[in-house]
Amino acid sequence: MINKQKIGIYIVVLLLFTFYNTGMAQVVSDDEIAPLNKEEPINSKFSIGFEIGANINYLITNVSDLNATKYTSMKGVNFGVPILYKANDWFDIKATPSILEKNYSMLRTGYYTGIYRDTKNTYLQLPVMGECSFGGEKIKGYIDLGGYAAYWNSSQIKGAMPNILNQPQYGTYINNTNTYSSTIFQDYNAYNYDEKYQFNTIVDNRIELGLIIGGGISYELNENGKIYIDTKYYYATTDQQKNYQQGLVPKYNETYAFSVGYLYQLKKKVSTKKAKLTKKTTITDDSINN
Amino acid sequence: MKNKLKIYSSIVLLFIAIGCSLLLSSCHKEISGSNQVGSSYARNYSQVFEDFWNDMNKSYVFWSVDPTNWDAIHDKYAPIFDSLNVNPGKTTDSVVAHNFKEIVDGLVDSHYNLSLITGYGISPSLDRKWKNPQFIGNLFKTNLNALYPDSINYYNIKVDSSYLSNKFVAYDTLSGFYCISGTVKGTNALYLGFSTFSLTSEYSNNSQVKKSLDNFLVHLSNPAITGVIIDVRGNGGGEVSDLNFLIGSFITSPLKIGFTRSKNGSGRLDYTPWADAIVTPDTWGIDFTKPIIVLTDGLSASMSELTAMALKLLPNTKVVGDTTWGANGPLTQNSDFNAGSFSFGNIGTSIGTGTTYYYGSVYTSSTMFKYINGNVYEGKGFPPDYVLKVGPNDINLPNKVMKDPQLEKAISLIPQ
Repeated sequence: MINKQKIGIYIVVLLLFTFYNTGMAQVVSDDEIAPLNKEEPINSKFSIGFEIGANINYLITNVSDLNATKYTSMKGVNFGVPILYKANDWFDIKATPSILEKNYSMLRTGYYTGIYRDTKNTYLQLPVMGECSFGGEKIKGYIDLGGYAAYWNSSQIKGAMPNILNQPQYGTYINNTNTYSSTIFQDYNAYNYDEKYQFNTIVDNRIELGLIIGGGISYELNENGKIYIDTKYYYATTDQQKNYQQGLVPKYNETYAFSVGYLYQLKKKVSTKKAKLTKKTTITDDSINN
Repeated sequence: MKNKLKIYSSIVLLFIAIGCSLLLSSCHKEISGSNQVGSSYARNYSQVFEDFWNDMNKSYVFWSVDPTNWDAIHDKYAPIFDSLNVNPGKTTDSVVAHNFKEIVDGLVDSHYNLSLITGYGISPSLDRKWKNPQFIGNLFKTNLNALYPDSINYYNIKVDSSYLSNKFVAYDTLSGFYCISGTVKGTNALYLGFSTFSLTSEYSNNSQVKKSLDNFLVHLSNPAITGVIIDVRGNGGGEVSDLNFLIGSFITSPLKIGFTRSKNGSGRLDYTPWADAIVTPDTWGIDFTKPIIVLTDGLSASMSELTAMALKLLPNTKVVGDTTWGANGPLTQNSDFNAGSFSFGNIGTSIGTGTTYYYGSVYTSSTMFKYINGNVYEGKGFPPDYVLKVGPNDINLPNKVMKDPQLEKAISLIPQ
């Protein structure tokens, strides 16, 4: 049995190691060198931005042992602050602290139609990805691969269920047609709820780890920034529940997210004297700091 | 050269991504559920036990308050049931029953009853009661139906020593249901006692019962009435709809008495939210503020307990007698609430009759009830305000005189 949490960690570590060894170098051209004895900003290796989007989440579980019950996906929204480290001109390391909804719905069918429970979960998520870009100068495509850790911050549940201790007034009947009821709410009053879910420390596993595969297209607006459209697939490798009983049916989130965003390339002031010395050489972080 | 490197690297990363996506499915625990209750075939004792154990995970609603370590039960008894497969036979039936008795012994659900096809019946709450020397059944060791002066047997035999005047006794010989209403002699206190909660159906179908209940309900709004005694001693409960019928007579606006919840998943702690438990007033309901005394004992169960708890929320109610049985989780069919009674160990279906046979059946609550004060009284019972236990010597006095100290206490609490 593969340890699922370790796999995610291994992949992230492997990517970081790979990118570290690709030679974090940047060539400065003649044009970028400012006059002597001045400090001028040059593009840093770091970019920061924001992204916003929508997602669709599936709860992967098994409800075949429940009568007339199924889970369906629900849409959610996501917002993130991408921080990108440019390892070289085609490899980046990206971390995007995000707020991400992972919603799903449980429905009952047939006679039980009308019973439902929409669960809206908010996760604070930190994905770390390796990003490989390709394409032209202005328009580039990229592929992301990485892992994430998330904290299940809050949950809101909304639904309807039969209420056994809220019978209709004596002498009145919900189903007064003298026929068999076609839905349960002809036999029971409904209890409608919309409330904050109270986490149970025995049941709920609020730390989620997972893997990410994604990709997108970016368009460079100018030397300061670029816009992009991005799609990601988040695959949780940890159960939403703690292993509090034998034979527990696991529950996993799977999320398909779509975002649009903007990345601004941070600037770094560099002594032109030092730049002069390094003309047509490679400027590394180490050389700048020395 | 650099462009080629970029392309190759992208392709490599793409393949890694595809490879990882193919590997992802192996990163999950096995996502397999068990069968729906009653659908698992059992060919040996191991399968019977496993089906029972799994169905209990799903269908038992009290796991959040039950001290039973169900995983430890599995670890201990799965090997025992495995060993029973070796020598099946008549003697094994009693061993199986004995093991099941041990397994369910600590369950708090006091409705819980396990019936085996071999004829054995196991009620953990009743077993616990018999171990208690103060349990009313141990105190009397007699026909509980003749226990109190409010019982139909008492009235049949000892009518002339009744506490009641203007009384109306209704007795359904078919169902065994009885209902007694009247006024306590020498007072203006109304009295109502009945054997089970089937008031709604009996009221509609039995003219004698209707007269007896009307005798109570009509007088309820009589200004001369100084108080009411509701006697649910020895009453094992019944239809939930009676809550509105009876309690609804004392209120004019909905009364929130607590909360219920059931299951929404197969995990032991997969619970629904708590739903408000509401009593709806009758069309004839009045805002009753006079004293109400509820008589309870150790045999008051289920709807009797809910009735005592509901009436206790009215401004002038006291409960007299003994702590109730402790079975107040409402029941209905399992599929409605993903919890409740179930059959396990599907042995097979008769070709001739189409009847499916199971090794065992469990009678258990579909929902957990939490009182408005936040307490779950399942397995504990609802305590009275005035504890007054009675034994045979308190009731059967010399010269064949019978007395009801609990009823007398109730009468004393109503102003004359």
